[in-house]
Amino acid sequence: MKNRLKVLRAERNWSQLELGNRVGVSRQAINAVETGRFDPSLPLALKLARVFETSVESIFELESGD
Amino acid sequence: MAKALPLQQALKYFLLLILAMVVLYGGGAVSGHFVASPSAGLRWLGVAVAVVSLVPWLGFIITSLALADEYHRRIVLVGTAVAFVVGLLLHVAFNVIVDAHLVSPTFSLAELPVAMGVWVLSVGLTLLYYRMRL
Repeated sequence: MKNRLKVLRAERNWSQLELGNRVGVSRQAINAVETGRFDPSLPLALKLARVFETSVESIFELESGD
Repeated sequence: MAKALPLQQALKYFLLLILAMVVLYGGGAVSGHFVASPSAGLRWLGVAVAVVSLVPWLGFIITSLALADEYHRRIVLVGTAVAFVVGLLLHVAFNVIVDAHLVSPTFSLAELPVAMGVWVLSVGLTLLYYRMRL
């Protein structure tokens, strides 16, 4: 699953730690999601969409193999 | 650990760890004393003490899971599943080793330290796997 988390975070000039604090997870969790090593749960995806004021679909996108 | 904890919560967590370690160690010693008793009732009490002394340690693990975020919780759960399988293989292997007289029949595995070691190792390896996989 691809995601635009890093781009969205950079646009707001937020660190991984700051984004993690905003959605209630650790910096490592944000890093794992950004690098595609961990797919977030639906509640976390919704929280991420809320802090970026966008939809889940505009952050996360299925790849052909998914 | 997942998130930054408030100081009071972190202190409670730390105290739970100390309590769990003290009860685990102390419970084992008390249980050993009761189990060696000639009275069957006291020996049963020794069994109960040995089992109950594990409860705070399990509570510590559950608290750790509750405090972790979903990423770390996944790592611990996968690591625990791996530890279960490794523990089972180790147990079977050890019994066969004894049956094959490759070690003395009186030799026994320290079940609890081995289980804890296997769990820590499995969680550590799972953490490495999640950090390194692409």
